[in-house]
Amino acid sequence: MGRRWCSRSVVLNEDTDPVPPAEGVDDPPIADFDVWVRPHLAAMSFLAARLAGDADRDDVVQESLTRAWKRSSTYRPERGSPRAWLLAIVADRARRRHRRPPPAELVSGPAAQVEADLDLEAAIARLARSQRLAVELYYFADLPVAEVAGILGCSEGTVKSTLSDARARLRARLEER
Amino acid sequence: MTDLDGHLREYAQRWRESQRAAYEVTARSAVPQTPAVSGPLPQPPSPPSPPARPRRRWPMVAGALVVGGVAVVVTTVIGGRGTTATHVSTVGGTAGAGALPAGQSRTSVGVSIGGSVRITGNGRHLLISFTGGPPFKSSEPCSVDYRAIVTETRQQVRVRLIASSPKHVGIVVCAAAGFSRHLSVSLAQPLGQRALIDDQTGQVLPISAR
Repeated sequence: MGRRWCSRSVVLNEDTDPVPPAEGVDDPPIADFDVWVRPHLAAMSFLAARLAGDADRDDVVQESLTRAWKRSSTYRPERGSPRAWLLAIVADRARRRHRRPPPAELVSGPAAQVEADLDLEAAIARLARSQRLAVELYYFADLPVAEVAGILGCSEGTVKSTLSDARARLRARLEER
Repeated sequence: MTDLDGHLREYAQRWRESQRAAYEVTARSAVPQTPAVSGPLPQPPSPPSPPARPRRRWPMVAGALVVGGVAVVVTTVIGGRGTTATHVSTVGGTAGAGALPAGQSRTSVGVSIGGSVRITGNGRHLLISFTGGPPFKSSEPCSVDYRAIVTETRQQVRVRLIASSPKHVGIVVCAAAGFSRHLSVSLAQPLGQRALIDDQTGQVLPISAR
C-alpha cells in the first residue's frame, strides 16, 4: 500500500525549496539551461496558468525559471525528472504569488457546455490543495501518474487514490448543483 | 455526472488548446537569456545573472509598446452562480495594422492603459484611445500589435492590454514617436455600475464623456 501523504508536500510550504540544496554544492548552472528547460516550458506554462491565472502565468513561469536557474546545481536526477523538478517549482511559485482572487476560467463553447465547464471549474477550485494539485497536474498539465507522483513526492498508488478522492468530491459537488 | 473522468479529460484538452496559442506567443521570450531560439545559452557571467522578467526585459520596446492593431479580444460572460467565463473572439483593429503571419514570433508585454476610455453601444463596448507605437508590420521591430484581455465579474471589468512587437535579434532602439491608436472592446454585459480597472496597474480607469 502506498503512502497516504505526499512527502513533497513541503513544496507548498513557505520558504522551502522544492529540492533542498545539497551540502557544499558549488557547481555551475546546468549547461545549456535553455535547451534543458525548453521541452518543459509548455507544461510549466499550463500549470502556472491553472494555479495562478492567465494574468500571472508568465510571471510565475519567469520566476520559476529564475529559481530553477539559481538552484540548478541542486537538481538531482535520481530524485526525479527535470519536468517534475520544474513543475514543483512552478507550483511553489504560483502559490507564493497567488494573492488575487481565483482567476477567471477560460471557457468557451455552447451555453450548456459553458455551464457544465463553469460548474466543473468551481468544483475544482473548492478541492483540498493536495487534491487540486493532483487534478491540475494529471488532467490539465496532462502528466502521467508516475510524473505526478514524482512532483508530489508520493507513490503512484497515493496519486491514484488522491485523484479518486478528488473525483468523488467533484462528483458530489456537481450533483449538489 | 456519469463520466466525470471523461468530462475532466475533454475539458482539460479544450483548456490546453485554448492556452497553447497564448503560450506560444510568450514561450520564446520566457527562456532566460536566450538570444537565439536554437542557440545554446551562453555561459552566465560570474555570478550568474537570473533570467530577466519579461516586462523588464525589453524596456525600450516597452516604452513604445502602448497599444494598437488587430486585436484578439477576450470577453467574458457571467456565469449563473457568480463564476466567470471567458470567451475569445477576434476583432479588427486600427487601419494599417496587420495580423501576424503564421509562424511569426513576437515579443509581448503587458502595458498600462495611458489613454482615455469611452463607453459606446449601450454600455457594451469600450473604445480605448491612447498614444502608442506604430501599427504592426512584421518587418518593423518597433511596430506594435496588441490584445485586450477583459475579465468581467459582477463588481468590475478588468482590462489588460498586451502589446506585441515582432521578435527580433539584437538590440533595437525605438524612437518615442506617438501614434494615435484605438481599440474597441466588447463586453458580455453592459458596464453599468461596475468599476473599470486597468489590470496592469490595478487602477480604476476614468470614463471620458466623449
